[in-house]
Amino acid sequence: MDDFHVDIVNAERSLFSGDATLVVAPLRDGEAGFLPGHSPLLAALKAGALRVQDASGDEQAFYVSGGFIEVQPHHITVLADVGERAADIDEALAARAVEEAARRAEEQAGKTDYAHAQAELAQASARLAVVRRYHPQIPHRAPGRIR
Amino acid sequence: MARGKEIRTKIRSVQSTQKITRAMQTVAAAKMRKAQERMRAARPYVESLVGIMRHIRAAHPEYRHPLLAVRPVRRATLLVVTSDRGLAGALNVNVLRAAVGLLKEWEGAGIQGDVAVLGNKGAAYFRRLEAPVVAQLAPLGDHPSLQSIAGVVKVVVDAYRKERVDRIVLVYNRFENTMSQVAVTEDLLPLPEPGPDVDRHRWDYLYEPEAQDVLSDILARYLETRVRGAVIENLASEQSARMVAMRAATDNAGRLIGDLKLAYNKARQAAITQEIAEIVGGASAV
Repeated sequence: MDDFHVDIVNAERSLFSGDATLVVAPLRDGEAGFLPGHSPLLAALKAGALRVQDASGDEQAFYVSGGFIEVQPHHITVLADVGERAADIDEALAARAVEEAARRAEEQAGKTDYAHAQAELAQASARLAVVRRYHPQIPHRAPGRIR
Repeated sequence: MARGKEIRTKIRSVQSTQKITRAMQTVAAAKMRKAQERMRAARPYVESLVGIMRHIRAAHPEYRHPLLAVRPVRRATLLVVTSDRGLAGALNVNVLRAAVGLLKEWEGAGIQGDVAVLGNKGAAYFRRLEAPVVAQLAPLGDHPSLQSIAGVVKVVVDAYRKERVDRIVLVYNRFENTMSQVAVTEDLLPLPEPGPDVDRHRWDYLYEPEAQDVLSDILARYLETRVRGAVIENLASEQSARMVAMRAATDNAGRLIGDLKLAYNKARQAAITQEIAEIVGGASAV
């Protein structure tokens, strides 16, 4: 047995259910990759990209806003608060959402909702980053590789 | 023609009743479609979460979370989900019968039981019964939000946390299909028993970031989602049951109208025949 069964669900539907050989998830402390046979793990997710690679090397990317991941040696369950396929995100709309969120965060600076606005901005930015990285629709200059 | 007139009035009254039941059937059918969609959408999340909870139950966490405690049951709470309105066939009757049956069973086993209710029907029922109700939410509304349910969930779960109850059971109508809804009782806490698929050896999760944080978050999420899932199922069941009940009522009204019309025509025919017989009798007498 050298693959996982992976289920990705959000509160509204099941996003993905199938086999994979590698899952990369955005944990609170950074990205983590899981290979089949991994020890059981229970973790909180932050906003970012979730990637699933199957046996033929095809990769699918998802955006998750947060949630939980449960890893069992041959089974992974991802409970996303909000989640969608990278391919389903409209890049232009995502970019506009980031601007909106940035504007709101600025308005809320120093007010009670500031933390909330900041969190929303972080989620919107992460969502845009996911679509830019894994499913770009608008030609743009690739950001310089950090290496 | 006194008898004929009476029947005509009756026919009109049944016809107007039929109009009402048919309208209710249409409304329920429309609401049912939406409610079923919402339920189908919510199911995978709830099922995945329950699966994870089974695994957590099987694990041996180093950190003992108060909600993971399994104690001998001396006191228990029944969380009953009912609908706000009636005219939905045996829907609420089934749930309440299951609830009362369980309460009696507990009483027999020496377990002190109390009740938390969601929905008007259950609230009214347990008030009449003078059962110990610890929390209630009524009316529930057509689109119960997570926040509105959270209040009742908190009361019940806090009692578990503080070791005032040792078991919480959820009773609601599970939606099988449009024609059939089944009253089910499911354990909310302690966590559901692990299935045969999990490792029976001593093992624990790795937690990221901290065991306490992750477990608290995911347990809170589980409890709210599970209860909300039950409410959503119950709503879908309610609308389906109402549609079926109202369709039966409309059909019955139609049959009744048919019978009454037959009776009316017979009475009319009898009156005419009698009149002719009288005329003929009168003519021959002359």
